[in-house]
Amino acid sequence: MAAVAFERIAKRFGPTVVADDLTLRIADGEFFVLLGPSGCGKSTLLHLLAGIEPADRGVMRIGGVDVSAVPPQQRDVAMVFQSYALYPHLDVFENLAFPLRNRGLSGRALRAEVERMAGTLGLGALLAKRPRDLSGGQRQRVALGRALIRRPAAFLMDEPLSNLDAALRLEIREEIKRVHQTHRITTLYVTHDQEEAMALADRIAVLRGGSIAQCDAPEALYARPADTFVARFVGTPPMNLLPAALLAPPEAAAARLQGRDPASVTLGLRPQDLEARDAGAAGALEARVLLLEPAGGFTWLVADLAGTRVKARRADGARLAPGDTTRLAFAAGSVHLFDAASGRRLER
Amino acid sequence: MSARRLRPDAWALMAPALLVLAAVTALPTGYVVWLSLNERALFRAEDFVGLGHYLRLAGDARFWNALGNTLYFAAVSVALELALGLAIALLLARAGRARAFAYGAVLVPWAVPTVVSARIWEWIYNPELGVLGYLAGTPVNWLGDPVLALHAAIAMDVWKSTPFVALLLLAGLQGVPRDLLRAAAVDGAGAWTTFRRITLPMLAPVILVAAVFRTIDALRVFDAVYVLTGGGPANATETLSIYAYRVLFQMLDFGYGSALAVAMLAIAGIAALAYARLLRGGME
Repeated sequence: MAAVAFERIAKRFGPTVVADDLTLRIADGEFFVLLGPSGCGKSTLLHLLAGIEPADRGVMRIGGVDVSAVPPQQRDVAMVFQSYALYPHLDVFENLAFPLRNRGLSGRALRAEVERMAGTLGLGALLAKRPRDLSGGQRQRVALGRALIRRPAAFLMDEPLSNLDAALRLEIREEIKRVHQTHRITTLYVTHDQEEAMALADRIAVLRGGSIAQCDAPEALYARPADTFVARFVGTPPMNLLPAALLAPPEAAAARLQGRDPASVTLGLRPQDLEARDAGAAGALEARVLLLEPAGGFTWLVADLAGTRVKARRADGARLAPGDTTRLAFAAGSVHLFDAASGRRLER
Repeated sequence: MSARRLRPDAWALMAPALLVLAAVTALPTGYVVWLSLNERALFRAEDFVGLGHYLRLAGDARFWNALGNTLYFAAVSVALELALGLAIALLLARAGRARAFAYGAVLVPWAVPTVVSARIWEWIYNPELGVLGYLAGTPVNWLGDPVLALHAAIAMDVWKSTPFVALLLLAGLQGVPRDLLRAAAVDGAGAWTTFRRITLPMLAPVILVAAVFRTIDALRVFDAVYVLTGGGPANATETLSIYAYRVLFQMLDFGYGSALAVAMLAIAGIAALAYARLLRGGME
């Protein structure tokens, strides 16, 4: 177990910038999630740390030691690949035993370790099976087990849940969190799924174009997104972004623009914070209902607000149907303000 | 299962292919087997001798010599081709930017017709003028020495056929998922362990296929040896196919020659069956 650091890392593949002067510090035992859209190079950061891909520039540290020039075999990290990368010609036992054999373990000690790990992950009955005879969830467990079995200094996971169906994804997600709570191994976890990131992480770094848009605890990321990119990326449904000029003076006062030119400000309102009421309500934004999305306990509503598509929660008891006029209300404290030009958050 | 049941008109649809196969494969094969059971030479009456030729085969020292040469040739050349081919494939897989050029360069020996390359090697082996003798420093009669001659033929076959094996194995190597090799590295496996425990087992089916092709080719080797040595000196390089050719087309003894050909077919068949068993085992 160890702290992990990326210091001023640069990496590019041809024209694609994966990392540009990127610095990250991950505390010992922390569950750290790298969150970003598909194809932004999150996985490459794991590959850099694992040593299976060289960085163009910069230093990586594991437990304070510069490992930039250390081969992957000696970095003492374990990795779960998106494809699981189980060895197809070896049975579950040998897959789990592989990292141990490479460290010279054999015989009874090896068997004991493998059986202990298989027991923890509920794989005891599958030790003699080949990967292709396993279900998706079982394969994922084997991949987890193979990574955990030698107690690595750091644990790297590359979208480990993306090949599983929805129900299994939740189950394995809990499993991963449980494993982390038990072993407290420093974990770097890559995903494009913000919900997964929120559920698992101690801290999340949102990546965009080779740099970090924001690095914070999940709650802080949600409560105070640093820019419109993070604001749209974190939280479902995504935050509504509206030109502040849409607001009539009373709402503008409510939003505490505080003398800023409304044309230079973008408003951010989470659908959860925006309530769609019947047309009669006063002092609110007027919009036209486009469609309704029942979500079980309540209903999402998509509306057209002066040409901008917004999503809101239908107020309890409101009777709204597509084509109706609605009034959207929000609490003053729920408004996020962003600079219209740069997208940066404006503090109030 | 419905997919298993043939459509009523399936036989009609397959008939053209079956007819062609029967005409060019089944009929001649059957005829050779029939010939081998008869005393048959040009301008002479046919005479059924049953298994007589096969009994003669069992006591024919020249047959056993040719069989020994053939098996030795096949075993040594295929082993060398697989080993060298694997080494070249592993190098080519890392060739990066020069890959296209390397592919082309490696394939040249395979692209040259066998007779042409046999002639080239004949000159290389030439005792007075050959480059090999020049490099050895003293004139060596490579093709005149009974022991050296067979190995000279093997060397040429290895030179010629290794590219085929290399290319096949390279295709196999590219089928090994990159994540497996990365996982092995992260799991602490060094280059040798990764090769032995991951790459090689993953490659086994392709290696087996290459071995099948090369073995069956090597068992019926004719032109490479015939052009290079003509089977000499003193039958030291005479393979089964050369012996069969001589009996059939020089001595015009069709009956006994056919028996030799059937023996060759049987040996190639046994080799193919053995590999097929291995392959099935490997797939399982």
